[in-house]
Amino acid sequence: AMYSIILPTYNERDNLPLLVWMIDKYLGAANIQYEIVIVDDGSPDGTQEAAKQLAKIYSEDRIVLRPRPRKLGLGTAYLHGLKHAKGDHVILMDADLSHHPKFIPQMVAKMRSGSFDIVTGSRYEGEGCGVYGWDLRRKVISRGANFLAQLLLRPGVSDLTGSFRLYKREVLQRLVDSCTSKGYVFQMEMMVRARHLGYSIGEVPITFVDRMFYGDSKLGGSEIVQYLKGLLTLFATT
Amino acid sequence: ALTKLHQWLLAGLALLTAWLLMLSGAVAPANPGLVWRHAAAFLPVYCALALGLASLITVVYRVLTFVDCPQAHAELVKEIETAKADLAKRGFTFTAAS
Repeated sequence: AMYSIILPTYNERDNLPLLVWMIDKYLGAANIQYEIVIVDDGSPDGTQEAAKQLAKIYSEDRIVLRPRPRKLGLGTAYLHGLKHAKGDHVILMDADLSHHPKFIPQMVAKMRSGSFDIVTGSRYEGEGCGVYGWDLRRKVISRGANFLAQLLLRPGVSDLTGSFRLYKREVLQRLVDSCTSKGYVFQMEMMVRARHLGYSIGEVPITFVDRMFYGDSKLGGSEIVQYLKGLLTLFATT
Repeated sequence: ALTKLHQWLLAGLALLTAWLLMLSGAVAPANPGLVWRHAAAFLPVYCALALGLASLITVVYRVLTFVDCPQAHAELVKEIETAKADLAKRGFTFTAAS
């Protein structure tokens, strides 16, 4: 089995080498065959130069740089990455070190033991889950939003807006082809459609280190409105 | 399959029917006194209040029991230092700002 990690990046020159180092450390230790497909949207900070250096250090087979000219959105980034990915399994995760690669071997094991089509990281449930860096306001919004989503959608997944997930390749292809929302709602829509299409979803507790170094946590009024609109759309159409 | 919206509408219709039956007296105890009539009339309001209260308590509880993980942050900071040193050894050049 070969695991392709698709990493959409924008201005991650500082985090990318650290993430690649950690991926190599933990997946190497677990003997997991991997490649990292970096979909950089024309970062002006030298992210692509960093990726090229990493390809020299870790091999061009493992570090696959497939950039795009400018910011073109997450859904299309995944599609672009899939076109160049060689693996039969795909891992999606954030490139800013908020997701830790040490959970990937756990997701792989979970997928095997439960024969799941998808394994999602959960920040909210399970022994060892957790979030670092959220103030009271953020926690209230998160719990409130999650409560509403669970009530309205009954998704069978505890962390609907999480973006650290392992998919069987054909499952991801089908989902990305059929999902149309943006942002947080895109992650929710993937899980809801997955259940609709009959895919099985397993969960692994993860820790999420919100990287607040780079400005405030981006959850303002407009994000909340977008979330509610997306939630109601999913409520009415699935 | 029905959408979630349709499921809720159906459930709402069923509850509405039950309530109308209560109001019309078709479903009532042998001697419906004032208490029963009041309760029956305001049942939707009481249910909404109860659900609202239960939701509020649930969310407050979940906020209070939210799991923080400061150790994950501490470990990450240490790991970043190790990673930087090892990458430098392997020939990676960080830019001046790193």
